[in-house]
Amino acid sequence: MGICSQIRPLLSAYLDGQNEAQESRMVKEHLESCDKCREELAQLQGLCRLLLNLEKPRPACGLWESIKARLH
Amino acid sequence: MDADIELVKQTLQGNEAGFEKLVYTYQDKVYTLCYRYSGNEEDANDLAQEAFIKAYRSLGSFKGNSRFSTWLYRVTTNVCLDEMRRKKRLIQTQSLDQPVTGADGEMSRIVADESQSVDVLYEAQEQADYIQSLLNELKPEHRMVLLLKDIMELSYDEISKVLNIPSGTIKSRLSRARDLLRRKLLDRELLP
Ligand SMILES: [Zn+2]
Repeated sequence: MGICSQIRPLLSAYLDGQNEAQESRMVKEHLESCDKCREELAQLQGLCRLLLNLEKPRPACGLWESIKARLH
Repeated sequence: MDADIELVKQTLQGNEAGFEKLVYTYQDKVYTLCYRYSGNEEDANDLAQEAFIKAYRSLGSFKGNSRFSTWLYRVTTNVCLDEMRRKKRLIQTQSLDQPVTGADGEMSRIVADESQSVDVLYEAQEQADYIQSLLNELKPEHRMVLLLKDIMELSYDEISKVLNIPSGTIKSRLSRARDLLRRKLLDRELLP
């Protein structure tokens, strides 16, 4: 568990390609041999997909009119 | 982007039509951010309106050394964080018997897709509501970073400019927020 607990906090940034080169290499190497951490990475990817696919709601019509009325 | 700067100039010269165009260009994005931040339509409309009015009033402070969208997100996130802090109102999870969120046409758009059964629709809506309720539970600062990255698709660099925080802080907030959501979704078997 030792190494896994070091790797896990890095997975989120790993997903975004935001780790330092050395950290990134460490994560990559570890993932090749650890099912658990690979699974967690896949879950994070799944989460990001869910968030990205959430509906982007649109404002009620007349937003500009409401804003305009308050500008002066 | 240059077009935005031109519209800002027009507005500052007293031509309101310039600002109208900026509102129409960015209202969907600003509203989505406000909606996912506040978790309900009423607050989202108030927040979006407030953000544009603040933007209008402080337009003179936009110096054009960042993109206009970055500056506008900065105004918007400040309005959201300030307003919601001030209200300190506990936002209830939207219940399922409320109308489907979003402006007109949304429900009809979903229903029009006949390949989806009612059960699947119901499940999808339930899942979206559940995710929103989890977002509502996050600390405002964590929620905002997550929204900017995973819903608004901003880069770390842009988020850093919008929230005025270093990339290390983005990483740690994002990691915490995602981990919390991951665990909760896993409990409900909503992740692989
Ligand atoms: Zn591991």
